[in-house]
Amino acid sequence: MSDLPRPEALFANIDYTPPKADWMDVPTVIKPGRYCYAANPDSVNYVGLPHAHKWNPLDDDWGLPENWQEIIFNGLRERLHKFRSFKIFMDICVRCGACADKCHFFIGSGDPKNMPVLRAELLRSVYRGEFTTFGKILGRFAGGRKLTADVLKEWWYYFFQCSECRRCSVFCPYGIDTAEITIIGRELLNLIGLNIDWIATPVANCYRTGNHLGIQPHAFFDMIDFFCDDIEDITGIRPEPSFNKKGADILFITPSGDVFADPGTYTCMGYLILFEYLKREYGLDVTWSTYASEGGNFGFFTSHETMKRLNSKMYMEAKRLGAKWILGGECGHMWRVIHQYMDTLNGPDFQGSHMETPVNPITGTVFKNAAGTKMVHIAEFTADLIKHGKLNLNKKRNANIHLTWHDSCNPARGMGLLEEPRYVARNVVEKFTDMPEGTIREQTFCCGGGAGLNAGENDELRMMGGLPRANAVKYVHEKYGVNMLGCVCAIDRAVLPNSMEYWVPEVDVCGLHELVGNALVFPGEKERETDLRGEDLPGEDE
Amino acid sequence: MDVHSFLTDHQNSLVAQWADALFQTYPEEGAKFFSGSKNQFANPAGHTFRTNLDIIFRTLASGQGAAACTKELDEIMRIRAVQGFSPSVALCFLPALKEIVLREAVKIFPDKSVDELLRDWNRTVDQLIMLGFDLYVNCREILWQQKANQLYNRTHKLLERANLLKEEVAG
Ligand code: SF4
Ligand code: SF4
Repeated sequence: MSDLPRPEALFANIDYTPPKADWMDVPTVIKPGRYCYAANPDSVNYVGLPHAHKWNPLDDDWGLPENWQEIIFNGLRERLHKFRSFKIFMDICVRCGACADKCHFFIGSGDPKNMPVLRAELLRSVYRGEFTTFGKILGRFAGGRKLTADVLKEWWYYFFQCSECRRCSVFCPYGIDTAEITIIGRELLNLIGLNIDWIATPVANCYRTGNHLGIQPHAFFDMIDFFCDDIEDITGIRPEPSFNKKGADILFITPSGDVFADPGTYTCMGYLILFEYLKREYGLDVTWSTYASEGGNFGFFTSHETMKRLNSKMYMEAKRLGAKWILGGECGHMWRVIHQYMDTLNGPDFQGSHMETPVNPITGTVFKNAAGTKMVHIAEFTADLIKHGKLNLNKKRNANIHLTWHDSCNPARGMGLLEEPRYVARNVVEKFTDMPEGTIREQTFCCGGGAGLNAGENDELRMMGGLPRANAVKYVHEKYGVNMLGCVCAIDRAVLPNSMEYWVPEVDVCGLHELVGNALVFPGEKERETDLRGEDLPGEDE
Repeated sequence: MDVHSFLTDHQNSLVAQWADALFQTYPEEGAKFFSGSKNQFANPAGHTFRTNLDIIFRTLASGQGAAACTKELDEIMRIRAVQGFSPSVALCFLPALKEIVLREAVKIFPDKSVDELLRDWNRTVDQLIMLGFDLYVNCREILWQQKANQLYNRTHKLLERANLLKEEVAG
């Protein structure tokens, strides 16, 4: 039977006989649905990133500068010197394979170059082949190779198939963080103008107007005003938020996705309701900024310098307004930057001189964990209020919801925010069921669209990478009747609705503070008939 | 021995070969992973493939039509439809089932006209192929629809919120 053709091959014109070859010999084929469009040169220029040019990933010629190899080598040398972690990650991997099957993109696709160990090897092989004596002499025998145009394309294709989620790093006995290797890989690609538009244009917008969508202050104000109209219709109470208020105690910053994209908008309404309640009950003084109108930081996906520039606006605005500290909304990458990189980028003076270690003025809780960053996550803030009995919550308003919790990679794995959102959630819904072990908390699966991969044209990659997360949701849906997936990240709220529609259509997606907004009861408030989405509330006796 | 007994007696080996035909469409490392780990959360694709192919085979072998396997086949097609395969490769494991059964059947029924014996079975597999095709296209349509909605929502909402739509046409 062995000389017969394989049954599956008889019926399909399999142009791709899955190669048994060494990975270095498998050519990279860039497939639609799995890559994002090239960056608009105007956006690249706007923030002064090098070698802005028009190019198309599907063309043979990517319009590279003549000395592109030299630029990459110099860039690599500089980073090996500057980032000790990167140098160590290049040297110490023993290829034990513990990380190999931990990446959602590999788990979903079966494409070996999506195994973290191999993703890192794409860059590591060039480091060996071009920078180490052994590799230079022994070449492939020492796992080294030369940097060719094909290798560069392979880098580009696979470094933009990594959502920098760090799941793989949890399983590596040496703590090698492949996300860090992707970050450096993308930085190197940026040196020769090879970014994607879903990153470059939001970065340029953010630099110009303060948010990813390029929304100007009056439009930002109008949107929030529009939410206040809706809240008034639903609750009978009209929030009166303050904007750019000098001398406010607290500056609030959230991703612009919450202001402009459903279902994040309902979470935004939740913030507004919470702040209005706290103002009326306890005199809390929070202000929104129409300049620092973005928490997300896509600079993180271009270079450390760009990340620093975009991050700085939050602190410059806090200084301008004289705020004591910053309250941060339900965002993903914002928190990763704040928690992991900002202190090193800025030095403590930049964040600290004019601000205080955050104290909740209502409960007196000192957020010592935020002494350096002066920035508190809203899940911590709300959890603290609930713990001290400061909120009047009626879970019955969320009685039609059976919630499960998606630990968003950056707040969960990047900063350890695991309990606070669950604590808040359990206080605002009646039914809460966690997904199985190995799919949540530190080991949470990425939504599939992190690190700038949520472009429309990249949908297949995202669906495939979203499979492990969706599969665990499907399990709790079928077994326990879960019908809502909660999260604290604007990218999640953009990615997961489509993912759910595809994999588990019976499950919807929401942010934490949408549920808080639904449950919060103002003194003397009129009977609500609908939730923040305008859907009928479940009957009180149900 | 009749065809029904043949299918049930050889169930395990036939399903294993069938699953193998599916796994063989992936690169070596991918196939190894999908066919390896049995954990349904760590290896959702492999787990779905193995479990559902088994159910589908048993259902068809028991004489029920392909429609009885819609849920199981749909779960497989949802995965195959987003893995970058051309449609023919995404579906090729379905007709492979005929070939796998035929190759085993000729060993058991050497004297008989196997084609004749397997006529009903082959017809059922044909139904399964057609069903697979419908399900595959349905998956792709969801993706296209999502893209279309995204564009529509983006422009429509902005226009609506900028009060640039007249109420009578906006609804
Ligand atoms: S787990 Fe760590 S040491 Fe093992 S292959 Fe992965 S990166 Fe290398
Ligand atoms: S960081 Fe996340 S996306 Fe990147 S290789 Fe590791 S597991 Fe995969």
